[in-house]
Amino acid sequence: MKISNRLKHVLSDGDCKDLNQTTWISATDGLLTASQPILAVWALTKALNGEASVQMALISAACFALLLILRRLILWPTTRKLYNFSFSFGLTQRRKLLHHLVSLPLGAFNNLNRGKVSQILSEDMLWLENHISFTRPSILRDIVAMSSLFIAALIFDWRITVICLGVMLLATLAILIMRINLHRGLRLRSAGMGFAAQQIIEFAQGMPVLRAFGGKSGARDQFEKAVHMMREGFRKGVFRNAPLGAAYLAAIQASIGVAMLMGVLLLDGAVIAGGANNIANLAPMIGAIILLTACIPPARSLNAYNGMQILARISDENISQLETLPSLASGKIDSLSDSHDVSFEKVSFCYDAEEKEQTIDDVSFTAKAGTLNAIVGRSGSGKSTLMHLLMRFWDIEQGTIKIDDKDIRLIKTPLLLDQIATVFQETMLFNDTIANNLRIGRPDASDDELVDAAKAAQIHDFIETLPTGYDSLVGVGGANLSGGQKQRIAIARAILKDAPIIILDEATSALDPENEAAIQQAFLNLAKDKTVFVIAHRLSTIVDADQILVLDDGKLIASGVHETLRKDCEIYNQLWAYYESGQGWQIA
Amino acid sequence: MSVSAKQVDTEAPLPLSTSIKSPSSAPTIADAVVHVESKSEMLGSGAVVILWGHIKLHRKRMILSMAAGVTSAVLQIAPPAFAALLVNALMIGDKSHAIWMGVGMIVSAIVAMLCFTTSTVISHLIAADVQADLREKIARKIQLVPLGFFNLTSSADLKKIILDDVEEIEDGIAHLIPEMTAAVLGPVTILVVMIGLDWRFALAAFLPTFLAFMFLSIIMNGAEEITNRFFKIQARIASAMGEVISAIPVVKSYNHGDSALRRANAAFDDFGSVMSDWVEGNMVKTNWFTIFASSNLIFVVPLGIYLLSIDAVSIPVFVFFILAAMALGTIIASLFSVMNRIRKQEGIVERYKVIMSQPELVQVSRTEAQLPSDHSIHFDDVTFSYDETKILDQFSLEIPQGSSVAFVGPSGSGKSTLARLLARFWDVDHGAIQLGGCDLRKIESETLREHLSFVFQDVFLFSRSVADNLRIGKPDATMDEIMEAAKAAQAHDFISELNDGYDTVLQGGHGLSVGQKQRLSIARAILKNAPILVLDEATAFADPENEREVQKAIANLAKGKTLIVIAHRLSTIRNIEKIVCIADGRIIETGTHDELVAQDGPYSQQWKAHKAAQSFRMSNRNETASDQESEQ
Repeated sequence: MKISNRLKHVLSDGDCKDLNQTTWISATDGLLTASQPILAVWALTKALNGEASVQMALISAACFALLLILRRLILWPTTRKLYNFSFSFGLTQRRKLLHHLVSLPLGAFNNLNRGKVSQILSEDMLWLENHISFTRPSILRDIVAMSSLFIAALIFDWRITVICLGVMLLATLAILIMRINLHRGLRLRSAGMGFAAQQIIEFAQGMPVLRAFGGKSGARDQFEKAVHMMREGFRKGVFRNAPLGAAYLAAIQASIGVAMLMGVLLLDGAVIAGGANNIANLAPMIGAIILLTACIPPARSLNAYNGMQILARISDENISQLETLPSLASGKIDSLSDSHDVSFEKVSFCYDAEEKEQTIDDVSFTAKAGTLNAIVGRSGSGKSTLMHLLMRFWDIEQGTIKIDDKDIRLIKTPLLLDQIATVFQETMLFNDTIANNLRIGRPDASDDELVDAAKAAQIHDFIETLPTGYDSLVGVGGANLSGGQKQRIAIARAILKDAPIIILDEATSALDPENEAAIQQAFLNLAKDKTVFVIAHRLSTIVDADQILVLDDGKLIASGVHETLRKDCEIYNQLWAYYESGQGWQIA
Repeated sequence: MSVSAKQVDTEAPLPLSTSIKSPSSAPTIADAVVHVESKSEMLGSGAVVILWGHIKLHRKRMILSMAAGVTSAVLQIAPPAFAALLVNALMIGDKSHAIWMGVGMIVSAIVAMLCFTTSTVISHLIAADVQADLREKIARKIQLVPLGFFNLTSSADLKKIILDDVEEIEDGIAHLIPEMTAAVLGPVTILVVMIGLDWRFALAAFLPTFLAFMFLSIIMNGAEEITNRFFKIQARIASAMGEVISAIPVVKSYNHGDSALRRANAAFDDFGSVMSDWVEGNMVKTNWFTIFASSNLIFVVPLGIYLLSIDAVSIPVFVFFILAAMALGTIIASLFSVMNRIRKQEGIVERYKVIMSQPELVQVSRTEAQLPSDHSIHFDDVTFSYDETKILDQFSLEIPQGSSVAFVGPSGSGKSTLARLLARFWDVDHGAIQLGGCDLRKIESETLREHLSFVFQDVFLFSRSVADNLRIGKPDATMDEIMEAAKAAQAHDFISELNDGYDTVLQGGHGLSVGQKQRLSIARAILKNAPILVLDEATAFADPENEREVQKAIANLAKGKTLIVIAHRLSTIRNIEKIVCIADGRIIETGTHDELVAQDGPYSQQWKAHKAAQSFRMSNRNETASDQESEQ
């Protein structure tokens, strides 16, 4: 029972106990439901013995009314509790998963299909909630109902009850075989859905490319493959499960007939010969048949719940898979001094253990507080990676990265990230208002501070032209804005954050010249007295840097100021040569 | 066998109608995902009608499924009848008749279940086909809508519709035929037989069912508003979580105070407040229905005992009514679950209808399609607005075949829009764009695509192999061609260093630098080798050591082609024969670089700014760089 472990893990001990108790209490409704046919049979037996009377009729009516009241008293509070528990479980679990996702090294996402993750957060979570509020109590309730009915039937006529039970057990055997099949089939289905989700998400996100490039065959092939896979998987599932399912239902339904037939055959001649006079002797058999008939609905539902339970288990497995991905452990240090020296000591790292070469290979340097540090190197030399390591997007395999002389792994993650403001090459905005996108940088920023940051990033005037100003929605991923506008919002976000360490990774690549010139001014203001890292392809930008780090193939091959590197470093000179020729070069 | 993945709804009754009107005239998917609207007249009919419309296409199988469904429904009355007849036979002492009745019961049970299974299997097969049809239909649709659709609709929302919703629709279809027929015909058969036997018992047996449905309709009416809120907030949670997944790096770097999880957390909080109201107003009260629907014996038994006491009924009839009333309860429970399923379909079908009612870019019919006579482009008095903001305003420009033109202008001036209109991501509002003398709207989309190659600012890579990503523009390209294109785009070297080279599967481009991704995008265009080439900030992220090579590759590629370049790095377009300066959607200046600089107009200002930005020196010391002289 892995799901119960999950409940213990997510809910508090008290809640978990309460939930289990509630589930059991709700199951007593099974007993109350079963009591109705039992009551009917009891009344019928009395009648068959010639004891039918107006008084009897009234007593049975009173009993039914009592059952109704009892069910009312049990169902209301238990339903309320079960659903509330299932939803609060769902909320807590989703929050946990989200935080776990955020705490994963970015590398985890290289091997993780985003479609699958989104499938886990939506569908799989629904199955688990459903399991708590509905499937689990329903299974228990039906088992209680069936057991009560069988026990009652045994008392009335043990022979035909045993026969009927035998047939039903055979059917249950079939269902158990089916369960193995079903689990396998549904697992495949779940994996297929993850694949399909990924294809659909990419189909939507890649629409510009598909529209501009997709030829006759290329465009939707993967998507169509996914659709085809789902259809075939579904058909196969239907064909595979239909015979056993049919056998189960037929056996359950026919078991009553079999029991009846055997009952008749077992009756001794005297009873039958007695005819109507001996009607009382028929009472046990008739009673047992009614009670056994009442077992059929719960038996059929159990078949359906079985499938739902399997789906909940698969969902649980999917979630566990996500949870077992190791997250980056947060440190304990919760305060840092104002000095923000950053140092890399013999740092090595590679994205993929199977990779032959290190992405970052034995890099050591120190960036003094308040200095400007430029990172240059060819594309793919590890410049961005180096900065991602500083932000603990990944953890390094060897060496240490220190801020304020403390290993960043020992610093509390939120505190670490508080120290760093970044502008990446690729801008990511949330489908929220401009103001909220800016406030990600500093949630408690006042409106004035927001405007100041936007002004510094040269985006304020544009925002003001929008009908709803700072409350305008940016669209999915910022789609309502141009590339330059998005980047300026990202810059404003970083300005607003005002952290002691600043990372600018090609921060102005998408800007038009006039904005770029103005923003460069803003950077000068922002950078004052901070520890700044700049990755810039435009080498002229960084000639005044206090330290230029030259990377090649993940190795730090030289560092120093522009003039010295110009003299000593061959690769640096090469980069300049490339740069200058690129500058002079033109398309067409 | 009928255990499909969508029985969640057995316990989640939804309202039949909700009536949140979206403020704007055309409903968006975002609205539809968020609001479960179902009574909007403009969108027409309800779920059953829509589902039925799809089922109808598979007429033969549908009739077979229905026939089997009807048989199994009518046979629901058999077990109580055979049981009563058996008791009767025993009472008159006819053992062999009793045995036959027992056999009859077994046979009828088996036949009923086989019919039920047959009906279900067939309807599931129909459902599988309808599902695939629907998915492909939606896919075709979203390939034809103006691209602005995707600004409002996240990929997560689309995933929900194409995957999860259609998966649920399957449930509606697969269960509509067998269970609906059984649930409707079953009670009717039982009622007819009951009334024929004894109307008093019939009344007693149906009374609880009647009460149950009365309660249900009261509960449903009362819970409409809260249920609507409930599903709205659930959709919000899904959407916010989808976004977090796609923006993980930002979320990570702004971990502090969960600010990047703001939307998700806000949705969670709102859910918490809606949840208990929903449980109270909906789930708890629905128990009234459950209780009465499962209390069919409550009147039958006391009535039977009373009638027996005055000798007004026979034992077999009483036994029949006990068993038949129990059967009725079972059928009502399944009717309830079918009703819920159908109700849940309402919201889903609504979203489906919203998506299918999106305006499409008009597609020309094969017979009317025109073939461009050459590779010239003519913007003819083009006006285009997006979101009520005018982006292009009476824009006219002639680009002869084989010439090159550069668009420059401030961010948001409309220069990228020109490229996107050319790709027909949108259609113009007024005027026309002509390719080789033909209006774009009169050219088949295949033909149009064959004529154009694009390199966009945002590079999108699919989670497929490198080779497949490059092959997108030319599905039948050989490996040699692919490698050649990659070499020309300076991408071959880094591709070769990947673990599996050209077969490396890219997970959304993770682990590649932006410059590398852009070179893949250029390789794609090179491989496609179309006569018109559109570059939208194509070298913005190129690294210095590649920029020259990439530009060389582009220059080679562009030879003899019609070339459109959109650039903010002005030095790259200096040599282009015609530079078009755009501001606020209009042309403000055209000419060669030298002419424009000489004119001392807006272009020349931009050029100065560009030179200044070029010579900018980053420093965190207190000095300004603005007055440094430009070098060139």
